[in-house]
Amino acid sequence: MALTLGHHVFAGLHEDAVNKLLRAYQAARPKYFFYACPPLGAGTPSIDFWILPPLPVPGTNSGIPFSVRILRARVDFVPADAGLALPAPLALGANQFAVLLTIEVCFMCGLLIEIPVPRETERNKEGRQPAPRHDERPHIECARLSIWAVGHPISTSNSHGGRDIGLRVDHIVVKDVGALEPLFECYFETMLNSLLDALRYPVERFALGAFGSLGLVDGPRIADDQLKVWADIF
Amino acid sequence: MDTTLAVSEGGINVVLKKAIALAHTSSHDTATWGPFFASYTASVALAGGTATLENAPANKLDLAGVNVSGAITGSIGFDLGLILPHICIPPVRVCIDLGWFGEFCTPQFCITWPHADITLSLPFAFNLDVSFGFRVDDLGSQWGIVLLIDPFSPRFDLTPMGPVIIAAIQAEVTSKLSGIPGIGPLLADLINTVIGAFTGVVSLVIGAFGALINAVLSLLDLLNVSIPFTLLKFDKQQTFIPANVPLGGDAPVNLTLAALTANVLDHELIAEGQLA
Repeated sequence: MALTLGHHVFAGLHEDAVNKLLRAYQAARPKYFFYACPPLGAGTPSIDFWILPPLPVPGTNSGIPFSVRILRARVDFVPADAGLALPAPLALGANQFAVLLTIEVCFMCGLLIEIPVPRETERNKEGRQPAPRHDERPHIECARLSIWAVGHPISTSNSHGGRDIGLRVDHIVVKDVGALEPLFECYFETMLNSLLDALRYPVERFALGAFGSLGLVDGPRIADDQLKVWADIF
Repeated sequence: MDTTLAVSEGGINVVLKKAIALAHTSSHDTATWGPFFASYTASVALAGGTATLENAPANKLDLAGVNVSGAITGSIGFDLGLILPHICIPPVRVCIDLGWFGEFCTPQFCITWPHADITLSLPFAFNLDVSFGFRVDDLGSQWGIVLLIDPFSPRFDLTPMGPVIIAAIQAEVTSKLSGIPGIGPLLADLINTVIGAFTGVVSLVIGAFGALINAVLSLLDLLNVSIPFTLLKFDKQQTFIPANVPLGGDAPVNLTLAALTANVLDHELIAEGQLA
């Protein structure tokens, strides 16, 4: 069966290629996979990790250093791989992808960093506890979370007059976090979509040298383990 | 395969249309046939044509009905003295020995035949059908899907040019000889002599024109039998996310297109790539 479906050009990107792209993205831009409040970050700030402010501790004017790191990310396009077991209520439907993440969240306990609060008057500060003395030896506590999500492909206009194609998460599940599950799901869905926004790909670019001028006319669609687009040559 | 790119016959026609629109060139040559000397240029341009794809294992692109049009321009020169007989009026000069008065000869006028030349502007047009095979070539920093043209012999008939050239020569010779006094009764025979001489070489002249047209066609990138024509090119280093997108200082995200294959399936050119 013809792939172009009446258009000039068909382009398909296999899920293996997307996973290679994710690894290349992590190698070229590690900070998008590692968010940390110093001193938890490793390497050069803003290059090896994205600087986070400390997590405010209620009742103090200080925060605790914390980090969020994506240890593993894998994308699976429909049809699902044999080994893919999505937790309920997630299911991989037509034109959808699944993403599996292993995320590590760490706190540096025993260390508080003062957080300046804008426009807070000295009077307002009265009664607030100063940062506790550092009589506890700082140590790092980490937890690893397994996250599953499903979503669909999107297409948006870009600043070059073309179209960017990308992925957007619709539903996410974080397991084994008890009552915190809806909170974590809200938090990580926002984070994951922000990361996917940074991964949008200008679809005209792949074939730019080959065809000169190309316009997206259909897609993106996910099927047959591929992200598919159709374009016409101008 | 990591990436699949399919181009329909319609897409191939759009790509080739751009290449065909750029296909025009010319070349020059000279030749001598006895008293006739020609300096001529053949210019050709391509237009139109329809591409169809033949599925694997043939893996062919057939391009039919390409209009080849152009013109032979230049000149044919000839020295009439090398064609026409030496003519004196009267033909025989009589001399009488007058002894010690010397010698007396009757007056005689011998003709110095002029040089003549005609200007050529001979348009031609014909249709061309050619076939190509596909190959993937390593172009250094790029992969190229190239077209390899099958040997072809353009079929065109330039024989209608013969009477046109002969008519031009006849008009030129008539003009040149008409100005020479005293040869009126001989004029028709003289013209016939020149035309007769040219008729003997006209097929050679037209053959030379045809050879130059063939040579000019082979100069066109698309029809060159020695150098493949690059239909599509892909950078080996594919920049999936450009630098500074979405944030300033962000490094580009590149993957290497490590291998590329090209085949025709379902009348589409299918290029499959492996990323590394």
